[in-house]
Amino acid sequence: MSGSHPSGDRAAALEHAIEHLRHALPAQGPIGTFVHHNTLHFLQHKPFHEAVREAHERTDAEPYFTEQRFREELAHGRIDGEDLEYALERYRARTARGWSEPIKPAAIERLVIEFGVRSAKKSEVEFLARERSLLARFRRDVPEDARARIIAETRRWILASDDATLDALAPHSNAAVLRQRLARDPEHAAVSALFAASRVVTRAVRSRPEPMLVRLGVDRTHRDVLRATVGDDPCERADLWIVRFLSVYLDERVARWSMPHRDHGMLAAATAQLSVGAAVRDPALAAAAAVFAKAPRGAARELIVDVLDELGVRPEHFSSYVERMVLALGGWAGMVSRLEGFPSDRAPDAPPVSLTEFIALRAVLDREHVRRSAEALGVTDLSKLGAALGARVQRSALDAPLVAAYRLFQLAQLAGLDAAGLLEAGPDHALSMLRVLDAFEPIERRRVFQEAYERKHLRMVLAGVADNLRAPADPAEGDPRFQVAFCIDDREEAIRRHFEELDPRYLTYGVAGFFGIAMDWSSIDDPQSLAQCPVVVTPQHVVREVATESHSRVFRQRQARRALAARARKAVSEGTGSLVRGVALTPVIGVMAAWTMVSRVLFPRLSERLGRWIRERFVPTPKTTLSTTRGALPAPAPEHELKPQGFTADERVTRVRATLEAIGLTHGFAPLVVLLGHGASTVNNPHHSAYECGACGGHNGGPNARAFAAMANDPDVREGLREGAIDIPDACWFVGGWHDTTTDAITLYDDDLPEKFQGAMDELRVALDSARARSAHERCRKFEHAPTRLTEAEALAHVEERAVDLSQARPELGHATNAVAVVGRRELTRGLFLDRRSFLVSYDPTLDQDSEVLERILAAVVPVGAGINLEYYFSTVDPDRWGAGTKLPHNLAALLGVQEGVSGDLRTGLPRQMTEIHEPVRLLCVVEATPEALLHVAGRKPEVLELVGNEWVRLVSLDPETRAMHVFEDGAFVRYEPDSIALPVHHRSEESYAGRMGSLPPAKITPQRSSAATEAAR
Amino acid sequence: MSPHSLAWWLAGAVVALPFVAVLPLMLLGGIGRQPSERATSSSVLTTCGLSSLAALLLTVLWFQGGGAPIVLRYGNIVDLGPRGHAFVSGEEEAHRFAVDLLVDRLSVTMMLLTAGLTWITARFSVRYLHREAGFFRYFLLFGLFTGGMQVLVLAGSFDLLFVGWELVGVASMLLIGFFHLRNGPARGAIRAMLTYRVTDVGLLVGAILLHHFAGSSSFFDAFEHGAWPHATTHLSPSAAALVSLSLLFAAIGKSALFPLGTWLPRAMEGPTPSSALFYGGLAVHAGVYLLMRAAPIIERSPLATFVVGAVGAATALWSTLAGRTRSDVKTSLAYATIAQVGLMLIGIALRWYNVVLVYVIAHACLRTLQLLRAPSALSDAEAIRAALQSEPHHRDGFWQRVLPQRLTDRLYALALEDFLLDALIERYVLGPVMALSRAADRLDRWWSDALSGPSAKSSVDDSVADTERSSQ
Repeated sequence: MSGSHPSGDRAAALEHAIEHLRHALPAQGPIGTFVHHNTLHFLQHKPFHEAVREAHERTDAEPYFTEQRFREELAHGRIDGEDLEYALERYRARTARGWSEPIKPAAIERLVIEFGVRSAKKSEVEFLARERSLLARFRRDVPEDARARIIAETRRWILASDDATLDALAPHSNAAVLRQRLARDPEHAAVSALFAASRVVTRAVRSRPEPMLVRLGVDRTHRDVLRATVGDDPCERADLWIVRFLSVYLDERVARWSMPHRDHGMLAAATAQLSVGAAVRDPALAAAAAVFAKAPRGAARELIVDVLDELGVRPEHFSSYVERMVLALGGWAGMVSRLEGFPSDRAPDAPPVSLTEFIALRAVLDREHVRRSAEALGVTDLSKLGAALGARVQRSALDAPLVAAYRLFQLAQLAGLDAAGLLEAGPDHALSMLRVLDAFEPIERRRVFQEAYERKHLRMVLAGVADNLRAPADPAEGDPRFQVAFCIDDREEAIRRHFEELDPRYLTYGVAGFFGIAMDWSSIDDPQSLAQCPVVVTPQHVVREVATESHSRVFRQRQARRALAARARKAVSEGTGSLVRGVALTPVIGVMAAWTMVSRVLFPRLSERLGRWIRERFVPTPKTTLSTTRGALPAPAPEHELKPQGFTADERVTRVRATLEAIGLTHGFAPLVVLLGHGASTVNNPHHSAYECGACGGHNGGPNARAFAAMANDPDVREGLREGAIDIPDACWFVGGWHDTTTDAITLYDDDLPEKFQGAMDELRVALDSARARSAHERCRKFEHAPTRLTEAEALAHVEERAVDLSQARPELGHATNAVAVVGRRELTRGLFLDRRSFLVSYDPTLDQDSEVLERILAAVVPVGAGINLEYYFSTVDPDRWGAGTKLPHNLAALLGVQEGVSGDLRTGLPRQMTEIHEPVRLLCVVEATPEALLHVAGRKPEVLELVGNEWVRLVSLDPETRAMHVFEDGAFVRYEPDSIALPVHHRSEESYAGRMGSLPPAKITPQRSSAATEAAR
Repeated sequence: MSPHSLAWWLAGAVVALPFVAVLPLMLLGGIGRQPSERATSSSVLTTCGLSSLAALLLTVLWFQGGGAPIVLRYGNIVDLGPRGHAFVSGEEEAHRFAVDLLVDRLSVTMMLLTAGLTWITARFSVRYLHREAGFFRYFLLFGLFTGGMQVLVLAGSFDLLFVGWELVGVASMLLIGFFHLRNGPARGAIRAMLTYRVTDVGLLVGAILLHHFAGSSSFFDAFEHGAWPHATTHLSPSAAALVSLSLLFAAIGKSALFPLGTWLPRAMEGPTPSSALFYGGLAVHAGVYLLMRAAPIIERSPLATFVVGAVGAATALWSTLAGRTRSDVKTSLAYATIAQVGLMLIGIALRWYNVVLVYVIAHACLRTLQLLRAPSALSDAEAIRAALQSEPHHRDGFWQRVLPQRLTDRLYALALEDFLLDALIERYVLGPVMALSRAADRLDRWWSDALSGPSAKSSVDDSVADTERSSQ
């Protein structure tokens, strides 16, 4: 320890590195509230493809599906040849290329993308030659005509040439051998000659230096390099120790024996912990303990700079080096950074957290472990480690010509080029062909595939919308009977469609599921308030659920009994974990456990019903109201509550009007207007919040719907709305409720429904029951454990069981397969089967001359939709780095997040079980607005501009009048002519999906109505 | 059919049925033709289910017979004893490896527990592991474990018990390493395997010693005068001490007792249901079963009785202290489980066999459920917080209130580091052994190089020449 302060430039570089790291680390907070967001949010200021490449270089994470996966999609027709050609053209347009003969660059690229040209190490090529007939047989996927051509040409060449010509292949082959082979096995002759020719023309290829060593000290750590060259991970034990330390240091409520003296900070606590048993423990840990013990308190920065200096990292590389070092436990580091940045998420007396101290801990532990590995290699000066390792890997540099030959050899086979042709082209053209191959490197190829994959998707969706517009499916007839506003959530697309199929007078709308009411909400069952709005908004009002006066006794009884049950649960869970109480409790609880296990695992739905029946008997439910009106309820507001409770009359009017205008519902009100938020009920699922409403900050949207309805039914509010020309008649009533996306149950808050609406309400319930059963039925087609043929009632039973089944890792599929957002009037999509893949946002451009409403909508929908879509994108393309991996070994650590097993990193992102059927395409936003209007909005909303301009979402303008389409591409709107196809027409949604599992293309649903039904409708 | 022959068939079915699915699955897996998820799970579920059914019927039959022990003989496999016995075969008495099953109060109870827990966990796993890449492997190992566990509890001799013991160990180790592409699981699996391998020697030695002292390792030959737990043995106290301590060593490994138990909290790396079944439910109690089975021998030796109790007490103390510091659900449960298992050993030392037996059942059910519900910890905590309208605080433990702060701080640091058990073992046991084996390896390499000469190098051009030669 030098003890000196880091000099100016180093200190500044370190400050910059820490600041950079704060952005680059996963931003996910404690898992109780899961907010979908762009995994690469910190790179959002760059174009999408550049950003994913950069992230790949930093973290090795996959930017796209693998080439192999894409080729499978190509084989299945999920990508068409024309899409591939489109994407290749785009690649060619952005790449400057030379010329090569006899295989032209364009042909090379097409062959590479379709078939692939593998690269391999020397040892692998040798293996293939020895064991897999590499030099005797064509690659299995070489087309028939190419094989025939090569064999014929080789035969002609060998027979026509004299020995001297053929000996051009020396020393890799010779005339005598070739002639002999030709007689016995022409394929062998052709292939071996071709390989020999490939070797001849690639002799001049020079190797490039080992990339890992070049990057050592820049964006690769000493640990990376040791692992790559020596094989063992030197810092594995450091990881184990840090994981164990952090999981107890950050813990606030799980461990029954908390770490003492945490108030001095992480480094002090770590020092105390590390100094235990220094005599016997891992020497590197003991050495680290000594370093920390010597350092003065608060010297984290000095420690880091010391380490970086000793490792020979230059200040300009502090950022990238530290990032790489910390990402080894990126999940935990992200949690530290997050907790430090959002102190409000934690208890006031929670122990201090500091990312800087974490980095210091990481850096010193890593250095001590690296030092020991280096000493084993005979290196004492750690800054010289790269040079020492360089000598070890030098030898592989000699393999470059062989590897180049191997690649050229494959290319020639695929192109049908024979040995003579290759020799004739000569080393210069061989090199230029290799340059084309090099330029078209894996990430570029996968980008091309990605663009083709998305292109096909875009073509299908836009063709579907265009066809639907040509003949609107279900022109509204008569006055609307019900108007139901759902959340824009993709999971609501099906139930909306099914509901509308029931009757042409049933109308639905899509609006962000907090219905414009941002509030801090607390229910009668939970005093802790939740921010019920998108995360970018901070609520300014508090709304509480309060028991009505006549039910206050019921409420107190409820509270007392719930507390009693909770105390019992707490006593059991603590008691069975402790030694002495465990002895007393185990026999009794063990018998109950046996019963619970049998019933919950073998009969989940039945036992859940039994449990609910008992709970309902034991815990009474009072009638409640919401404190939406300022001052209406003298509810006992806690002293420290700074935000006002309830909204003033003006605030209520503004909010109701804004939402009604946004969805274009300003006249022609139905007798019942229903607002349905949504939530999900799942069990045994730490990721529960990820299934709930993203527009409500990962919570259930029911309270917002209920609050909105209460406001819209308020006579004062209606009076205020009339001044703004929205006249809600007395014959119209608003009802709030929520849709459970897991069980498809619908709860309506209709306690205060006036008598005269009872008839309509009965009809509504019948209709919603029918729609939700059909929705459940449609969902079941994607569940492999659901029977292939089942009735609607069986489908409902199935989804209800999934919600309460302890063993069910997929209670529902969440937003998986989400791909499209349609912003516009319902006529664009009414009657269009979109396979639960679309966010549907109601917007009426005819009521919005100056694009103000559009601006509000896009400012909410684009970031929320992109957040969900991109989180799914990244968790799908790399489930192990961006995603949370499989749920099976997950283990809740300190209730902050899930860790893999007991020793792994904290996992952010989505588990594989949520993403496995997802198609990673960027959100296709189809907006019913002119390109000018969209550009105008983007110019005023930087958050929209960033996402659209950098193509993190794909934007399509659909002209409200001319119906012309423009696709936003490379910074400008380009006219797009949709494919002219006629969609398949069905009478019910069920016909379009019956018996099929995968993603389905759009279809048209035209309900066939018997004349009696039509009569009744009138 | 006489009740005895019916019992013969039923007990045979309990033990053999799980393997009926496992063996063909192994063959199919071996030739690279994994059957579908449905075929895999239904074959394992069917056979294990039928095995469980047979267990139920056998229990009924045993009760009808008045609860007297039933000895079932399935013939001898001479000269096919587990390896390690070869060097005693030179003795005057030829070694007999008998396939005998014993149905008595202890084995019936454990058999029923095994049947029930495996059936429920298997049902759980079908949905939980759906679409997992290792689905086939999981169910294969699951079947192997079920069969092994039934062999273990129904075995009529320590020889056969050893077979079940090993099968359980192999399945357990491979399921810890289920996610073998990550470091943690591989490391955990190796830890478990090392501990098993070393401590299994105890069972082997115990069985050999029993052969030596009692002439047989069969329970009904070695024990006399009444059914378990009232059996006695005529071994001398010192012989009994040797045998008991060998068996205790085996139990220390399998049941994760002090001082070798640190592998278990690191073994929670596999899929949740396998962790629940193995380390909450069955495998962790196998050591307790072994000691209960050997109770008549342990009783003969006051020393052994004391050591069993002492190991139990040390285990309980170590794991309860270590467990209290942990904040992740599965590790906490692992330590809590070990602590109670430690108490069971004290129960055995106190000769409260029936109490311990009941306790094993209750404990196995409790821990299995708790581990299956491990992912619910967050929602449980939230529900409790909401209902109590406050953040619940943990009461300090007893010693935290009585001991001085400096001491508890020290104790805390030690507890979090598992009392440095790993470091101590690594330094004083593993280190020397590794040094020795590295020396042996160097010798071996030198020897083989000296005999065969350096291996030939090959390149692509060489192989051109090779293909050349072969084509000529």
